[in-house]
Amino acid sequence: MQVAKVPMDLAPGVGVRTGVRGKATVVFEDGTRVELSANASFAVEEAGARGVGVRLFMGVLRAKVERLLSRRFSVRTPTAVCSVRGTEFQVQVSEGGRTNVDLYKGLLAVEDQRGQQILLKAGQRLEVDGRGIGRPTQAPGQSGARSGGFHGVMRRELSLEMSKEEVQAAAAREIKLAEYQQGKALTDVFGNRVRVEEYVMRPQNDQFKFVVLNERQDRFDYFYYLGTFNKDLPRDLSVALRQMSGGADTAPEYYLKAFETGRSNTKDSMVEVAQGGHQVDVNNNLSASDNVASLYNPATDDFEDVSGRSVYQTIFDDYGFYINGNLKYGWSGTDIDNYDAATAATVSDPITGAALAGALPNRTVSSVWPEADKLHQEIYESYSDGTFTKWDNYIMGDDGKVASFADFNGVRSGSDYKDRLLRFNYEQVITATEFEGRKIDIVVEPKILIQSGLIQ
Amino acid sequence: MKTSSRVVFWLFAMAMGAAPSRAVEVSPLFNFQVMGGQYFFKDERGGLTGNAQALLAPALRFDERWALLPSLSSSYQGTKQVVDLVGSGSVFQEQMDHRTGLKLVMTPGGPDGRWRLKPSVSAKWELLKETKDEEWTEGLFDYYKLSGGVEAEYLYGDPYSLRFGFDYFQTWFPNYSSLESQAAMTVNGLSRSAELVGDFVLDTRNYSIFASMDGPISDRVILEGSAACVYQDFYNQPVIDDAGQLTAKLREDIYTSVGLGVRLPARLDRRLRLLGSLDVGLAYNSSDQNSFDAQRVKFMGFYYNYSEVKAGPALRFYIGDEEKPVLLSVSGLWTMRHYPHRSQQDDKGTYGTDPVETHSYTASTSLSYPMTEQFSLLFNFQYGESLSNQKYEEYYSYNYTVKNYLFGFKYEY
Repeated sequence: MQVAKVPMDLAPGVGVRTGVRGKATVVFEDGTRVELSANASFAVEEAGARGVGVRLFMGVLRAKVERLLSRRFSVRTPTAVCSVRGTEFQVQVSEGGRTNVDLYKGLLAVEDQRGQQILLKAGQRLEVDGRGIGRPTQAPGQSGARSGGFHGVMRRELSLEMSKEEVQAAAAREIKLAEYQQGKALTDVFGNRVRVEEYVMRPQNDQFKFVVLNERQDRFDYFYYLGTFNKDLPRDLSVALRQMSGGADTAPEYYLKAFETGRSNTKDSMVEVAQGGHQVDVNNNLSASDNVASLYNPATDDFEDVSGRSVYQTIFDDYGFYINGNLKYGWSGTDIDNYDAATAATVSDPITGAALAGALPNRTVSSVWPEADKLHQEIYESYSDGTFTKWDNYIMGDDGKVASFADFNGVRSGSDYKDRLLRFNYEQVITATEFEGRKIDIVVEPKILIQSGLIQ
Repeated sequence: MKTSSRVVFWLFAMAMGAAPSRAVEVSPLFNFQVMGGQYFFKDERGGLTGNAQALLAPALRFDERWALLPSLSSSYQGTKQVVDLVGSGSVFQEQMDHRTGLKLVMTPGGPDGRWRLKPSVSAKWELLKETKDEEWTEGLFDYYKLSGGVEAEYLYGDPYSLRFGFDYFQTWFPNYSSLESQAAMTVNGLSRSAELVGDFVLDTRNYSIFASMDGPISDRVILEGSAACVYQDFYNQPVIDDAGQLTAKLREDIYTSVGLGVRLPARLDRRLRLLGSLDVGLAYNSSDQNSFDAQRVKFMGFYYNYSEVKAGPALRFYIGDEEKPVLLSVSGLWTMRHYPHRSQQDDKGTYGTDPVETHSYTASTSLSYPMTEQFSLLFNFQYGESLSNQKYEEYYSYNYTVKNYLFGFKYEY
């Protein structure tokens, strides 16, 4: 193989072959230009006063022929001869000698091996193979021919641009996928959007915080539980959380010293704060009303009979219940043995110690199951000043229906209960005089309550 | 003037400054497509709806070295595609997007030049209605994106080339802020919100480099190869540690992919041509973000890491007139995604020991029947199946079948 130095003179009979990455331009004395694309095989047969004759064995050739009436320009391929006077066209020879001719400008005579001839017009394409001449069709890239291939180049650029756009859009889609997979974006049975975020966090080494956030069509509600333990919590929080209900015979290693819960619809709030937590053997203290007969044992994942045995649970010295930031009721004491020994708050806030503006009203609590056989509990707290708070607790299926007692038939153990409960959601709706007709409505999946030890 | 406006102005100024006195050549590109059809997910089916898209790009050539490609496109999708995010289970979804772009194409060597340099900018806005209570512009996952970059192309054997470049793009999800950042939980004057909580946690800054190349290895075989790497900066999303605590560190992902394609063009008859192809791809996403499953008090490090393998053959038959062929396409795709640090769960959500792995299979066929050189009738059908060892599907379906059909027309100039 000889690598040509350019420019070079090309004598009749000399062949030119372009490489995979090559291309070549042959310029004749009359100004006619022949452009060879990659992988083309070409030879000049004649270049004289009568005209120019070239041969294309393989590849693509594009010719721009100057108009000279006395001269001819012809391209011979294995299957065709193209003769022109003043035109612009492209010839492509494929395997087997099959020849495609595209005419962009002027007239072009094409002849096959049998001598059959056809005159192509501008904008036409013709295919010639060993069987002869085909039927002329419209040449490709008419728009490209109009603008010298610019249209085609730009269409390709646009296609590349759109491919890149698709890659970037896929990155956004991937982000969305992860949100769906983690259950942060849900669609309820009515086809509406529900967003849920649930966190367990550790603000301090001896604290854990559980947060549930709900966003629905036009409302936002949240719940949090902040627990402070007697010692630093282990890396695996569940070890400590499972001991929250107390211990039989011996005091649990981890127990609450304080807790705080909050519920809000962003406008109204309901907060409980308890402090001064300490362990008391509730089965052997001065009150019989807090005796425990059945206690959950995380080791066996079952409830066990603890009647007559020591059961250590947390008793809190100070407690405050607030609605919209105002103390509703509370108590205080010092290392109290049972809740009957606590002193109801009347003149000062048991948590902050601040003096109260007036005496707190008396509270009366009642609890009913308003729907027969339905797991819907209503707790009503009425106060002597005429105000109230009402808690509606529901166990609900994914279809929005309230579960029945029959759904829990046959439950004999803690694990039975939890397995059954996992099929449902827990919803709490709170109303109060201070809410002025608004409500706090929180949906929690029981799984998190079970795993965090809040349900055992 | 904002940065994006300055870039657009700069591109225009470069192009206009380079323009010689002769008239600018305008070559408009236009594409319009309308299709109607139906979508089926498991045993559910969506209503009969339609998709439409339009694109207009008046390409401008100033001379043989300088060209500018402004583009404007819009699309509406009422019928989900099989390749869409379908596991959320809703057969109801509407989507539209609007995009504008500006690309400068410089050919320093003129018509015989082998190099092209292509700086570009674009802006896109995608809107979604995924639930019945979402209105346009209020979709939870609506996003807008600004992008800018530059690409160099070396035409080593026209039409084959080597391309490489860099892109920067930033994505905003304006309607998605973390619920915790909205809660403003305050008790007795003290904040009860998580420390370091981010607000627009899905927003990202992205830096991408890429390269691709194609070329013939024989008269009958053409190879295509590509590689890309995207660094994603989640600048509002704190990393979660193994105790579920948010840290001061912000999430960073690196996505790397390589692809290889083989094209096998063949002429079976004077009126029948075939393009066979096989594409394979490998991708890996590496993330420093962890996940703490609050429901099960379980920590999963590197939760977002995954590897993905894809492979798919395709056959395209060009039948009849070479300029207006009937195009029949048949293709298949197998995709395997493996999350090495996510444990598989049973149907109750109990964690197992195996990592989550999902295999999806899609098959599609399409027919394009030309009525004129620019106008074609279209039909396509897609079928997809996803199988996974992740059996906990309360939030997201990992195991499903899905299919859709669409028919319509396309006008392309």
